[in-house]
Amino acid sequence: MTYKDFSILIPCSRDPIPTILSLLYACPLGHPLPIAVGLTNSLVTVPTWLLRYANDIFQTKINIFYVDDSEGIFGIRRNALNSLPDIVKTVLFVDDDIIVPPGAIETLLSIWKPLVSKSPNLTAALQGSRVEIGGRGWSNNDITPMKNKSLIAPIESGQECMQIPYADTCFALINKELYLSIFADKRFKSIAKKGIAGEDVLAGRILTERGYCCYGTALARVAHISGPNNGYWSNFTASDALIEHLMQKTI
Amino acid sequence: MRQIDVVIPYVVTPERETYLITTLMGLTTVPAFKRVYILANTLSNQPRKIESLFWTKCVMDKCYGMEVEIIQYPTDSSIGYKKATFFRDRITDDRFFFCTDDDCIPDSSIKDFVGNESYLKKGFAFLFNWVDINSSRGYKDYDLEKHQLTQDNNRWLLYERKNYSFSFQLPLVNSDIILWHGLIHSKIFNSDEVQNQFMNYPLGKRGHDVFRYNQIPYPLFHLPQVYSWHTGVKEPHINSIWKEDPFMPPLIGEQL
Repeated sequence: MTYKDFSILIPCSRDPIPTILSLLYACPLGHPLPIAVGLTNSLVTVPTWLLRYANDIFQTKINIFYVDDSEGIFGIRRNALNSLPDIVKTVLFVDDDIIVPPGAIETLLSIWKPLVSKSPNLTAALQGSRVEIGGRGWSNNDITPMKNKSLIAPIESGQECMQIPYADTCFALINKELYLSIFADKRFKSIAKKGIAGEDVLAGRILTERGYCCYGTALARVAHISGPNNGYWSNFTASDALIEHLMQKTI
Repeated sequence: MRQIDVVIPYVVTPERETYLITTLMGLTTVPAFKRVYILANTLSNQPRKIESLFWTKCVMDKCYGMEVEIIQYPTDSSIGYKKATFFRDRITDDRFFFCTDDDCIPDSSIKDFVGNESYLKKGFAFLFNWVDINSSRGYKDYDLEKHQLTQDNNRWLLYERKNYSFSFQLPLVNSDIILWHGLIHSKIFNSDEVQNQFMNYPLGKRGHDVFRYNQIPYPLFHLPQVYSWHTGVKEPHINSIWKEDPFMPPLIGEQL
């Protein structure tokens, strides 16, 4: 696979060192993957030693830019996507509290490729599965389909991936142009506020409305290190269920 | 392949958590390193729950299959005390350990050296180098690290490494050493000479691991071309307890 039209994108409001380093180790040597980091405030940065290490050892150039966060997480994702070069068509969103183990990206890409080949105009996103290891555990408020064990079960029995209502952008491959086109939908204005998540839930609803498909796979697993007891990686409030409720009222 | 356990002394502070996970991820690139012992304590002027370490253990277990054992020591235990008691109480067999710090990412040269087991038959301690890649780290004349490669040489290693041929010559050490970063046999740590200095070195004084080469009753080798990437800064929280004092040994010469 060539990676000319591909980029990893980390919207970043916390210390990105563990996530970036895990990405460097997750990509096989000799196949450097472009990494873009959208910093959402001036208090976080990518240290120069990490840039140097990535460049010298992994031949990976990390592209860093600032992203306006005045429209909340929705705005951050939209603006970060807009900051990528036009040539980039496929983006792997990775949150800044995710550890990507070796093999996870290759697995995701290997499942994505046939999906796109089969339905190039309909495939919107493919998310991996996140494993909670930061103490947050399983929450009833979290409606991420890939965390629902009953949904994961058929995948583990042989299916590589399955269609899901929306792709959790903590670790998801997406079609950039498609997402940018739906981000223009005026319904996103209702969540375009600081501290409000759920843009991926709404994106999934709109994509489904328009006939596009989101997929999930349990074969590509990443670790979610945010947790209520983890002061270092302080996390956003997990309120997917609330967002879903708001969306139903809004739509 | 021979498994070599790793030992990392660690003082629990939020500032160093990133360094630690970075180091642990780096260790996974060396196949021989499957288990890490973290010698952890808190400082009375930096109280922090040691439980914060356990998510790190969880990440390493779930994502990388690396076993991390956290061994807790009393508040204000010195680094020397932790090291000495670890080897005295926990290690009853004779074997090599990779001893490193929480802000050192192993370079591939360490993987290459560790993977070539024939070298390990030739001695009991193979001390490695480290290359500073954190530009915020400043040097002073009395720095212990002065006896490592010079910054110019470090730069040369950084940018010319593609053309560098590793020969793994084993120069015998003939002056002062830092007895930590490298492959070191448990016999050395359990020797009276090392136990005495580690156990009795005062808390807050630098240089517990500095020895005259002839203090150690085993031959020592120094491999400047085998190194870790040193990401750490001189950190106020840790270094505020250090006093530059007469315990600091004199500068070590140009033996490299």
